[in-house]
Amino acid sequence: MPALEENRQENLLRKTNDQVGFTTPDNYFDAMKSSIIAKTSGDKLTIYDHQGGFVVPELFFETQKNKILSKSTTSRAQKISLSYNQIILRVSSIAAMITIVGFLFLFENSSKSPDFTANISNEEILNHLAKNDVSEDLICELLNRNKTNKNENDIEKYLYENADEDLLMDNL
Amino acid sequence: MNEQEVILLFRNESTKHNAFVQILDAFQKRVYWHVRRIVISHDDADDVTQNTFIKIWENLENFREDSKLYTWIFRIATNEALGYLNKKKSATTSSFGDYEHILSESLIAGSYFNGNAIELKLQQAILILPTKQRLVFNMKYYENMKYEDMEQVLGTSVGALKASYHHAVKKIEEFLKHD
Repeated sequence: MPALEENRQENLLRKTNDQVGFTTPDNYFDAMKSSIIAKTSGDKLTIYDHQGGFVVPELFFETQKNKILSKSTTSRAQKISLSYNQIILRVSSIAAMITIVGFLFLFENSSKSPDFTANISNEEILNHLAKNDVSEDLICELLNRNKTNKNENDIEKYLYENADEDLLMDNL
Repeated sequence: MNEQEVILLFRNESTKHNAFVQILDAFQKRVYWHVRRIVISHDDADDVTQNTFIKIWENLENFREDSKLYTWIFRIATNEALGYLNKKKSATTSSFGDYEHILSESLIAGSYFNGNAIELKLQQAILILPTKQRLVFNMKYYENMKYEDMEQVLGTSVGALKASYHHAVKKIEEFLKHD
């Protein structure tokens, strides 16, 4: 058995034997502790919590216990408020997402909305305009726009049929 | 009151605080000294002990009872202390040995060490050990912890723990003989 271990066991045995048959006055150890603490009050150390040379400040464990209890309560409060904040954050995020998706959907649909005039022929439009007494210039403009795709022969034919002959000769 | 009763009390919102106070009363000093022997500095041990109990408060509801409450608490304390030590090491020094030297020096210079020459020498000898051996030596020599409990705390087999303790004692004896 290592020497260190033997020494330790001897010390433990000695501690036990010292208590056999010997007595001390009532509260002797408490008084001794107070006395020692009073003597060492300059450096605020307590002998009671002396472990292999390490010591702690006087009343350290009481102070630490209070700190831990206060921190644990704060930790719970923080946790609760954090979870409320998280809920609010999550709800807001979802709402924002829905709004964005909604806008995108509407925008997409509006850009893809069918051109309702596409199915109506120009003739129908012209008839409608004529019926409703729309100005002749506008109808002519529409007619011209309608006929821009005609080829040169068509235009020439139209002019021979409809234009004033003198005016046509002057221009030619 | 046994462990299971305390855990049951902790799970009930109305008795949670009282249960925690009981746990604190039962383990605060033991946890502090366990941590102190790892981190050496009193202020660091104070911080780590507080963090340990805050973790216990936050996680005890999820404790699965497949180990003892005592070993569970010591496992948290050990991990917290080692984590703290590693952070300090990386912040202050670049190598492992350097930081152990700083700790050894702090025993002499620090305000909260008033051991005699033999105690000082023993602590300095303990500080030359690798972390695992240091943990095992402290837990066996100072805390008189059973190897089976140590196995739960450190996650190392009983055989390996016994070997670690044996090597640690040999190294300390060598240190004390030659220094």
